[in-house]
Amino acid sequence: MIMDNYTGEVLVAVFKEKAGYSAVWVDYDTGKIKIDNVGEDKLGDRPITAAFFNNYNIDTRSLPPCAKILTYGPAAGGIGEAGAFRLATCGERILSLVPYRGFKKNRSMLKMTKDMDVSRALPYFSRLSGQFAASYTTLFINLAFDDLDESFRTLSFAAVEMERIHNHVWVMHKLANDAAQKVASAHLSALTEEFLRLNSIVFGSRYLMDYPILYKKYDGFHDRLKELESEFNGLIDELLHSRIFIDRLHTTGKLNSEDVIKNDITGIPARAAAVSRDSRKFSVLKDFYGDHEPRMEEGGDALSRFLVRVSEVKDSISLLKEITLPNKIRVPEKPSNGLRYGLIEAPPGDIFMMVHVEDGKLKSVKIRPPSVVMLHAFSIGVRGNVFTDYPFALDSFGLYFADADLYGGW
Amino acid sequence: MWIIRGLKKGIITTPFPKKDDEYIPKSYYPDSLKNCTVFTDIHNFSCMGCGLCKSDMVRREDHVEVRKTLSIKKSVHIFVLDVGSCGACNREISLLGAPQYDFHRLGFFTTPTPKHADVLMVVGELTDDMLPILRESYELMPEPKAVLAVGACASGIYLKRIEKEIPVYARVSGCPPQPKYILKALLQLTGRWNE
Ligand code: SF4
Ligand code: SF4
Repeated sequence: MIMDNYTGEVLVAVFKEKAGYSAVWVDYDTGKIKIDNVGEDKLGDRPITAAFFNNYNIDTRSLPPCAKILTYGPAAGGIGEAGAFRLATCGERILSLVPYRGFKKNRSMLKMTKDMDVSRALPYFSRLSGQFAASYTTLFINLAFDDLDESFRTLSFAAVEMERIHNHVWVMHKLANDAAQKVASAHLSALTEEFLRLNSIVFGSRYLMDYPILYKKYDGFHDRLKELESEFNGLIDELLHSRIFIDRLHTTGKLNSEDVIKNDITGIPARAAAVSRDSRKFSVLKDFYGDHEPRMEEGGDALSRFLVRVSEVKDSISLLKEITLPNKIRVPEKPSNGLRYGLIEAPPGDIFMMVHVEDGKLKSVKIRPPSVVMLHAFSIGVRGNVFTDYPFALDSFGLYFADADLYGGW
Repeated sequence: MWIIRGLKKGIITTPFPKKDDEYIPKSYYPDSLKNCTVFTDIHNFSCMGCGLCKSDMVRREDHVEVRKTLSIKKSVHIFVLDVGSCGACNREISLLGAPQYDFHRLGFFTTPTPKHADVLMVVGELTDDMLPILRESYELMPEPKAVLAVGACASGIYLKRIEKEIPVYARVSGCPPQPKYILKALLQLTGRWNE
C-alpha cells in the first residue's frame, strides 16, 4: 500500500543548545517545519535520536551465545571512506550493526565559517560533502542571502538535479559491481564520468563546487544531456534483465513502512518503502517542481531503492530538458538577517540547515546531513542479512561519512 | 548484449599518457594567486579553484610534483587512505578504474590492505582520529614504498600535518584533482612517465 497520505511529524534533527535541546519536526504532507526547545526526556523513545546524539550501542543482552562483536573500518576496504561500523555476527549472519561515526568529525570546513562574512563562506559549504556540494551550496545561499534572482535560481535547480543524476548513477555502478556485473558496472562508471565532465563544462566543477562563481553558459548542454539519457536508458533496460543482479538486491537491506515511520526515516529509503517523504514539494527550490509526485516503490529493499533512483534520474533529465540555462548569472550578495532554516532534497534524502546571519556575518550554523539518516536506515535494514549482502545493503543507501560526521554545527 | 553494446561504443579509453586528451575538460584555477581571500599562505597546491578571489579563472592542468621516485618494475599496488576528506577525491580515485582511464592497463591496482601496497595515496584533511591509522598504515607497508598526497587538502592545506608523520614523495593539486592528473602523478612517481 502506498502511504502517500501518511500524516505525521517526522523528527528531522535534534541540536544541543546552551540550555536543553532544539528538536526539528517536519510534516512532509504540508511542509510545515516546527522547532521546539525541549529537554532530552521529552524526545521520548524515538530511535533516530541515537543518530542525532551519536550514542549507538549494540545491546549485548539480546545476543545469542554464538555472537561475536567486531569493528569494521575505518580503513577497511569496501567502505571507501574514513568511517566504521560495529557489528554483532553469529556465523555469517549480521545480528546487529551500528554506525561508528566520528573519524571525520574534526574536519574544519564547517568550523572555519564561524563569524565569517557570508560572502566568503560559499567555498566551505561547497566542500562539506563533495558528493552533495550543489545541495549544500544551494541551501546555504537560499538561507544566507536575500537577493536571489530568477537566473540564479534556475541555475541552482539545474545544479541540484545534475547532482542527483551523477550520484544515482554512481550508486547503480557500485551495486552492479557488488553483484559482479563487471561489464554493466564499467558502463555505469563510464556514464558517471561523462556526467561529471558535463558538470565541469557547464558548472565549472565536476562536483558542482562553487558553481555560482564558476558557471559559464554552454549551448550544447541539452544535446549532450539527450545523448547521455539514451545511454542511461539502454544500460538500465539491459541491467534490469539480469536475474543475478535483481536477485542480489531483492529482499536485501529491507526496511518496511513501519520501520520507516518508527525510525523517522526520510529520503530514498522512505520512498522505496511506500512512504511519501520528499522535501522537493516545500524545499527552497519548490517552485521548480510544480506538482512533482515523488517516485515510490513498495518493497523497501535494495532493489526498490535502486528502482526509485532509476525513476528519479529519468525525472531529473526530463526536468532539465525543460529549462533554459541562463546566459549569465549574478551571484547573490545581499546577506539575509536573522535566523532562517529550510530543507533541500539532496540525492539520498533531505538536508536540513539553520543559519543565523547578523550584519553580514554568520552567527551560527546547524546542519542535519542526509547521511546521518541513511546510516541509521542502513543499520536497521541490514539486520538479519548475511555478511555477503552487506555491500549491497550499504551501497544502496548512497551515504557518506563525510557529511554524516558534520552533523550539528556551531 | 553487453558485448554488442561495448562494441558499438568503440574504444573510450583515453590515449593519455601516450598523447594528451583534449576532450577531458581541465579544472579551473585563478590566473593569479595574489588576491586569494581564503588563505594567507596560498600556493599552487592549496588553491581550491573556488574563484572567490575574483581573478580570471582559467582551465589548466592540475599541478604534479614528484620529489622522489619509487623504482619498481612490477605492477604497482595502491592503498587509498581517506584521512578526513569531503568524499570527492575518493570518487576521483575510484574513477581511475572507469573505462575512460582504465589505470589497470598501465599496471596500477588498488589493494584493500597496506600490507600489499607499494603506494599509499592519502586524501583529505588529517583528523586526530585518523592520525594513528595513517601511521599504522604506513608502517605496515613493505619496502620500497611511497606516499602520494592527493588533492588540495592532503597536498596543500594540510600537507605539513601529514609530513610530520610520514614522508610524502609526490603530490597532485586540485579540489578534487582530475583522475587524469592523479594518473600522471602515479606515472611520474613510479618512473613510468615519458614526456
Ligand atoms: S581560487 Fe580560491 S583558493 Fe584559489 S586563490 Fe582564488 S580564492 Fe584562493
Ligand atoms: S581536496 Fe577538495 S575534493 Fe579533495 S577532500 Fe579536500 S575538499 Fe574534498
